[in-house]
Amino acid sequence: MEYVVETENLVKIYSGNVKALDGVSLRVPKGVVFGLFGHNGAGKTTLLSILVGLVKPTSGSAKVLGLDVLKGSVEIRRRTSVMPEGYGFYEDMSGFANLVFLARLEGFDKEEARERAREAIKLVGLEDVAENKVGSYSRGMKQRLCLAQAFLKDSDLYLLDEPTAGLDPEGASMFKELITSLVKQGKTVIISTHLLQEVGGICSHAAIIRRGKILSQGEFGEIAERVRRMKGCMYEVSAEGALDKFAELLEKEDWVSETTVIWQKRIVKVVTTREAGGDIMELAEKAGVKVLYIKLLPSSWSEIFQALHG
Amino acid sequence: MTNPVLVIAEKEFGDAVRSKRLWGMTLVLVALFALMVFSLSIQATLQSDTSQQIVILDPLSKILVSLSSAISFVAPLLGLSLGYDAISGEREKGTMKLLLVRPVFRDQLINGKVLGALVTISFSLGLSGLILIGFSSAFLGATLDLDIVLRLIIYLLLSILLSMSYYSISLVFSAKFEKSSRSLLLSIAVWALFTFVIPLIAFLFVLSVLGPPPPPQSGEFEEWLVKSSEIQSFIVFATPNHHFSRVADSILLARAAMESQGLGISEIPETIAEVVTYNWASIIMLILFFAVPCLISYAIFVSAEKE
Repeated sequence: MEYVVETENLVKIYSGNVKALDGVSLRVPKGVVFGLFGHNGAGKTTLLSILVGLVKPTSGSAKVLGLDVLKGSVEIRRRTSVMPEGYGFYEDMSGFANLVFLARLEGFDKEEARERAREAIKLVGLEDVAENKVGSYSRGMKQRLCLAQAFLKDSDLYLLDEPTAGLDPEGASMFKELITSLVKQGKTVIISTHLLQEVGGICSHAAIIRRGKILSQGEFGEIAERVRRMKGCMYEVSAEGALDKFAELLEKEDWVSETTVIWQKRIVKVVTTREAGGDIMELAEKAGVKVLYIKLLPSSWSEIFQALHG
Repeated sequence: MTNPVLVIAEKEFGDAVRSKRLWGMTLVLVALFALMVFSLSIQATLQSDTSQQIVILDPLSKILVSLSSAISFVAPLLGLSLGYDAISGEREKGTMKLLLVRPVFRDQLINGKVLGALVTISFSLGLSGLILIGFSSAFLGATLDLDIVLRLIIYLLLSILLSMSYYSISLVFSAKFEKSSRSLLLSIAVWALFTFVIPLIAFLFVLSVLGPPPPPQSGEFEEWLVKSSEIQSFIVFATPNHHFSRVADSILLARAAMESQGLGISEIPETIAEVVTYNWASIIMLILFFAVPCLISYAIFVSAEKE
């Protein structure tokens, strides 16, 4: 498998002995949407900053698009689009003028830069306010503009830090469409976020990071399986009828380790020592309850995240 | 492919031209020039009334010599006003992050900033100079010959160098500190130190070493003046203002010496080449006052780990 990002034992200690990264070894395959999930302060932004050569690692190594981050940072940035967190624009310039300036720093001549800026503005739906000063933009509009600046050029890799923060539902939907179209073109996208509900759905792969350490990484199915092996299989059963009786029947089975009835007694959560979807369905029939759905957990990145964070 | 240094410099200049800060400083310079032309114009009228011809310098040189100390106040402020937030301002606004994720080296970013400041300062001082020439021609009947034009150009270059040296000092603070307010305070402190404090210390030191000046009529007075000047020059050697005034005054006073050969002024350099040769140490010091802080800014900014 070809990897666009490979890091080996990355450690980053800031002044004051603050350990932001603690032995991070990450592999990001080419052509996927890769989530970098973690709470605020987990080390996501530091990791992205190291990948584009803005921050030097204390130890360890990292390669992006086959280039060493210490030696080839400018070439990495030439082939990578970045949407940083905590960015700002020149507020006394229009959104369009900001983009033209940034496009020129990418190496485009004036005319090409204007063309690129026009396309990027259109892509994020800011045409109507393109000539307005950024100072008059709302937070969501600035977030769209920041997204636009990441699309000023065609890159091999897109590194997006908290891209949906501040976006309205329409913006979030536009964002998902953009990412989907990038992946169809064979591009790789890394999304760093703690807002898993909003972007989890578009990530096929991810790494869960906590206090500078990667708890787990890989494709969704692999990680979910790892979580199941670690924590046991958990089923979520939504049903109608005598759920208490159903729970009693479940608790008598030796392969059931825990049963909880939740959400106004309409959902039963069952932790089992083995895969037991069929057995659960049989017991439901015995208890006379009507199963609306049965789901083997974790079924989403949010659930994986919760399971790993305990 | 476009050069990022030129792109940044172009934006810096564009921002400056749109800012009130630049026009305010330029206006101060123009106002100073206008005041000087006005006062000289009155003086010339009075002299013509009394038939006294004591003006040795041509009007332009005379204004510039008179304004030398004023320019050594204002030109540094122009530099400081452009430099104090050159980097810290980008950090505060968050724009630094968008710049640094581009395929641009950090030294290119600084080079662009310095080049932009150089063009801006040259524009402001050059524009003020042109207005001064206009005023002088209109109200004092000043005429230009090749020699005075060359001397004015050198004077302008020296003013730019002085302004740029303060720009680069403030750039150091801007690169070092996160907050522009802190950078501004320290920049002003350095300006005050070089402009007022060190010359004052030099003067007080002279008084404490040589005692108060003897009466002007006595023969010891001239000796006191020479010694005082030597001691003060030694102390203020550590300020760019001193070197600017020394070379700038020299380049214009030499013109007077040329025009007044019959009046007994003969032992000071006259031609531009002579002035440059005579003041090479000050010229080098001025260049160092610009270059050394610039290099320190590079070192701080390039090695800065996290923006």
